[in-house]
Amino acid sequence: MTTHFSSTFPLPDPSDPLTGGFWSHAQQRVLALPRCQACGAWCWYPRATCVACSGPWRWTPVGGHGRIFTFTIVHKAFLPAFADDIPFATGLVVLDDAEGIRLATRFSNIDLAAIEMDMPVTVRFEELRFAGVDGSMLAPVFEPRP
Amino acid sequence: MARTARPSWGWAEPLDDITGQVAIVGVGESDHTRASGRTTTEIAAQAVERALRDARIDPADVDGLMWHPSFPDQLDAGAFARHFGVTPKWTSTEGGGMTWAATAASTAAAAIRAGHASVVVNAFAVAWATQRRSMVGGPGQQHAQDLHKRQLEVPFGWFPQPVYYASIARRHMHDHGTSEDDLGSIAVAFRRHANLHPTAVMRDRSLSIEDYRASAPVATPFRNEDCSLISDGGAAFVITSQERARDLPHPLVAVAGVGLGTSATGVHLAEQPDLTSTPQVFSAPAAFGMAGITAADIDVIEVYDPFTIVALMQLEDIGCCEKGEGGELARNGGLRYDGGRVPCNTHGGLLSHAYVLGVAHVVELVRQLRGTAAAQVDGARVGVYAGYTGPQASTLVLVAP
Repeated sequence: MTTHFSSTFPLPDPSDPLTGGFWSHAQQRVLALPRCQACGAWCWYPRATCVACSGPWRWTPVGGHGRIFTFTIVHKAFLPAFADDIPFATGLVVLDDAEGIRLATRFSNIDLAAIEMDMPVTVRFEELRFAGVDGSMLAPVFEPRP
Repeated sequence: MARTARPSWGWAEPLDDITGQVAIVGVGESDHTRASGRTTTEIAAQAVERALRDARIDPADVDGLMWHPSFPDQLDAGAFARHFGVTPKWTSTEGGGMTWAATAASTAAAAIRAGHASVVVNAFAVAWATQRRSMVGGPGQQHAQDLHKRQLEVPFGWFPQPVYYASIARRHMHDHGTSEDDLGSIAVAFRRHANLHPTAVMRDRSLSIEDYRASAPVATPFRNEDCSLISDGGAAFVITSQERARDLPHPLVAVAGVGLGTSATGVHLAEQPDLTSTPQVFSAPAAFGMAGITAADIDVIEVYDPFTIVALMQLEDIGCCEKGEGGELARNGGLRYDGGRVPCNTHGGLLSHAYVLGVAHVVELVRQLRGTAAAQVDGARVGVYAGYTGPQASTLVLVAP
């Protein structure tokens, strides 16, 4: 119970050795996920090696098209940092080009009353900012696909 | 209900067959309150005092103690010695609530069988209502310490548990036709039981399906009533051999089976291949096999219910109904203590009794099988507790003579 919460929490840390690549790529407007160099599996969430075959993985750009696997519209600020955001839509997407994994994300440019399961969405990079937290970071969120 | 194929995303842990070995002979609850200023250790000690009094066992005779160290300030061996003046000679940190409230019986049985202990106390308490004001402790902080959640979920607002489980509920609705009223029917059924329970936090607050529908959304499809209370409280129970239990005042409540199921995918729900099932699909068949029962034999069931959807999924995964039919079961009054097909959370559960992470579920189950519960199920003889952490689920089968 000694984890240090930085003053920028809940902004992510792009220098984290295991997960930071997701965010450092996002700063270049690239959606990248860990992919096993041996068996080709998408290693999400990232661990030291591929869970399927223990092979090495590498951050690999992936297409940004997908569908809403599930969602919720959040009306309560569960963290003070979310206070300026509510109500917002968050949930899981499945990507057309990364079979077998689900990505937690936020849904943007979307009519909260019209959001639907299996809705086609595409990635969009937006500045992530939080109430009472200095700084911002580009984040891969998803918007409806025409 | 027969299941032809078991899914491949998890397994049942191998547990010794403990049929015929141990019984739960004493149960106790602390006062359950909103923020009270009490410490966790004080709360646990009060529950243990009451459990020992219930069992007519002197604290000096306690030689085994179980708690769980991942929650702060539990009644560990040092705290027990300071409070009761006795140092238990055998201890285990595989006790407490959640899944451990079931598997404690297995761990204690092994210690009793080996002669390491003869009277084992399992206790658990939280003071999260008191701690919440300063955002220290509490379920949210425990989860935010996980690297993957902090880096890959929290920044998107997919956090904390009400948001995860609202997402799971939405998927269950999509896959199985479950409705918001179905979820509401679970909250209403448990609240009605809490209204009958003398120590339930929500004893004096009724809830109708109309009240539920009128309640504002927290994270759709959830309203407040879909989410567990945050309260200060604790509970404890006493395990001993069935031989010794026969000399004690209460009717024998025997441990007939224990199961523990594990999801291969761990703590991150986004990774679980079947988002709308729980590891109860692995745990329940193992426990029922040990006990020689089927789901159809269950007279009363207390399920770990941090959210309405978790109660619903566990009932389905245990086999109380077919997968996807939990909503219909709840909607048609199937969970009611008086005449329901599967009387469930007869004390009100985490949703309406108290948020003590399942230990009070076991306390209630024992009272049901003694025939002394507030919302008593007529003739209850076979009772089940379904524990849950997310990556694991457990099943405890208790049987009255």
